[in-house]
Amino acid sequence: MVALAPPSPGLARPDPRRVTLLLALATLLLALLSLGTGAAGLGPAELLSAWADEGLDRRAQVILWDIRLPRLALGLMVGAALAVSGALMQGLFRNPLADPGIVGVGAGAGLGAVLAIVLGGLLPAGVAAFVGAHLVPLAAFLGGWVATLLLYRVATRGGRTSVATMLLAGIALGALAGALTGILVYLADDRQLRDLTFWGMGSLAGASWPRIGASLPLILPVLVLSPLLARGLNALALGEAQAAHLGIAVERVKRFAILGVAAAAGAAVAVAGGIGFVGIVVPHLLRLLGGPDHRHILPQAALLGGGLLVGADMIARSLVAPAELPIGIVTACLGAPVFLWILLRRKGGMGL
Amino acid sequence: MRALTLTALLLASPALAGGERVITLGGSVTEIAVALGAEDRLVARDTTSNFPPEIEALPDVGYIRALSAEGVLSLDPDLIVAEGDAGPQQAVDVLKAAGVPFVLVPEDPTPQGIADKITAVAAALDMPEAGATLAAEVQDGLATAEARAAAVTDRKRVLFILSLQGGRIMAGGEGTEAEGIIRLAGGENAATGFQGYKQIADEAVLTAAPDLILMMAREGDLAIADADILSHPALAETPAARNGALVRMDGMLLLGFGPRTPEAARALYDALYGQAGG
Amino acid sequence: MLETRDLHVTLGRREILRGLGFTASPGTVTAIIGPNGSGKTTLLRALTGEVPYRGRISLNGHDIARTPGPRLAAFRAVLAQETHVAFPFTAAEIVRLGLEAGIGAHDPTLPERLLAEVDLPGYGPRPYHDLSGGEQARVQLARVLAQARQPVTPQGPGWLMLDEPVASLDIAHQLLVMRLAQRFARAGGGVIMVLHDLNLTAMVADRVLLMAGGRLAARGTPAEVLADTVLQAAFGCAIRANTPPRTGPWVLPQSVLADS
Repeated sequence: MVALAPPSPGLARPDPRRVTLLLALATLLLALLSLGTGAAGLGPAELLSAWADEGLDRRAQVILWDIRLPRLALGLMVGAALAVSGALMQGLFRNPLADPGIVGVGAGAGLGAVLAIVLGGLLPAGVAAFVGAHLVPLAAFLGGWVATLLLYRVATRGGRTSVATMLLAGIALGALAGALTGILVYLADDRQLRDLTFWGMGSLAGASWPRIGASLPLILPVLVLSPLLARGLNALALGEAQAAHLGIAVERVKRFAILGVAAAAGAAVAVAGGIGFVGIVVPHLLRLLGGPDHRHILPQAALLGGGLLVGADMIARSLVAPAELPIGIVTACLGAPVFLWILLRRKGGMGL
Repeated sequence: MRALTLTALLLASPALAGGERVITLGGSVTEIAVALGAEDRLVARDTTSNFPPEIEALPDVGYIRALSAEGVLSLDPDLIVAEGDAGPQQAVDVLKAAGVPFVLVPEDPTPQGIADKITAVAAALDMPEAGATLAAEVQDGLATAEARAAAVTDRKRVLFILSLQGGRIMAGGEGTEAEGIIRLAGGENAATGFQGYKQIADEAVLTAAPDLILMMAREGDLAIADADILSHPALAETPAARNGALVRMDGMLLLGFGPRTPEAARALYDALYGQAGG
Repeated sequence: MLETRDLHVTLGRREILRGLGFTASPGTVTAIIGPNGSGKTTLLRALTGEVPYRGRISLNGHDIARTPGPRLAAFRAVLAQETHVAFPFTAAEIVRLGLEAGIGAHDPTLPERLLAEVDLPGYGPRPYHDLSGGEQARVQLARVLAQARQPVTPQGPGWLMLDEPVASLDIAHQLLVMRLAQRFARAGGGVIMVLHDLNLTAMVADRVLLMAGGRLAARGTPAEVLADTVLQAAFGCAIRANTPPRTGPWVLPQSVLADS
């Protein structure tokens, strides 16, 4: 960073490394809090003392190892995947309104999930037994991938991907997926309707170690490798041509960003359903906090996204206990006002 | 009698005592458990369990297909009896792993299915005698209803309207619980040619020419005044509207296919043929 | 050395460049002038690989169509006519984008030093979007100078390609930019720039390329190209070029009326 003291009125931005450290600490704290929170009581103190005496009874063990830990892990993964995907897409599309859904992941995954919920019963018995309860996430992930690859193909001519075409084709594809979903909704019975309503509102209730194992290889590499795209995304803020003159392999950045988002956001949506606003709000908050440099934003998005989702899940689990709210409702209820607040605070200066 | 059975079982096998802290999931299961006399053993219910009304005082663990494993565990149950579609699978797996007996009751909206369900719930609650009594009672009631329905010569046509939001008529077609109860009451489903609950065109309503309109009783702002329904452009021209034949019944009673189904069939039969002296 | 041969560019159905070839040497400033729509900017965009072309362009012996962007970026920096910045970067962060593209060690004080060179001292922490148009243009210039801060690189001479670098600047800053360009050339780098101002061209250019209708209407020293008849033919209006002894040619339009 520039070491000179600003002689003129400038941005009083905190040191990005300190922001990262604070976010890491906050996320860790939230994670511990989340482990010690739940309808069944079992606060942190009890867990600790029970652990120390190795005296966790079976119920407490199940609550810790099969309920809270997988939910915590899935919450961190899904939140991080959505937020990092959002940051990648906003950087790539040079648009602060972009979110992971912009590459068709949401529409495709939604269609896949609805297909599985409504028509899953028509699968041959052998296949149904093989995929079992994983049919919906599997279909959602495949749907997201197919949609993204389709958009990417449509928007790519002679090795160059037109981001604008991708955006427009995405709108068309979204409308088509919406119509197909509509047909399936029409065919659906009552139970299926409720299932797909709940799917659309997102939940971490499906957390289990096998599911985490299945989505980790899709999400973790994107989280770890995304900072490699940071310089390219920074340069892309000047436009594609300028970025190319700055020596950025623009087409490669686009390809990796799009496929990375399809993998990470696709996996996140597949295991947790439709969780809105994390992908769009987190990068915004971070830009306000420490500036738009993607080298800091990408790792920070993973931390803040994961932390926010873990926090939202705590609310979802405790507010109406012993029942729980769909987490998408919580993120939207928290996210939408924050988003409006950002917009109102910045009225006039639209340099988002 | 219940106490006796329980004591006997507690002595025989404490682990399978049929549960002193029971959670029932699914409206029909809860209704059966209460009808069996197990009401004070219940510690929680799901959102779809709302009969009898007293049961709503119990904690609600959420929608039966979006259960929270920890929420359910927090109530410290020693038995869970659920309709067959309880979920998500992960939550059910975790509950089983936590050592809570989890009994799934099969679904089948037929007279035999109701009896089987009663027997299954009674077995889970370890109340076989009460179960046998109730099952026999319900089977008798259903047999009576079927016989009464079979005796009807001039079947009246019934249109079941699930909702009338914004003037759009969502009707119960073939294969629905609504059709089941209409048949059991000696009526004929006026809405044919489609499966499930679907929105139907105004013209189709005129062609269906129902003699009676059947709806679920709802409270609050979901309720629509009778006059509004009967003056709906499509419905106004039907025989039902001309005769003011509109019946509202509690949804769970009407469509639940549980112990109260004979009662529902009787009530609907009376509405169709009772006053006419049939 | 920049060499172009038989350059054609067709955009849509219109042929914008209709076969031109020239060379430009490091150590000199080459100005591209000409009327609106004559193909100046298209020529620069062809030279930077932004538009597809037929023919051949080579820079320091590399065929630019076959050389990966990152390699070219090591010795060529480009300033576009307009640059829209998507996110709220500070001036220093914009300049650093140029530093990262260039070569050599990163000195954390460099962004501020380069900003001072374009007369924006202490502007580093200021948000780019809060600056005036002229200040933004100079931040972009500082970014380009950051990328091309070595006029002679290990890969040969460095090149600055500037599209109307003075369009939004006042007269003092126009002269500042010309000075920086000239300094780069004197230090062994090559400068290619599109200019509208014929007087600045006369003052700073070593060679002038006059475009008209997608072809080179004239080329040579300012004294050769900035001549009455040549300019009148290219621009289609009455122009007088004069050559006072000390400053080189200067140009004054003679009337706002169209020449009949």
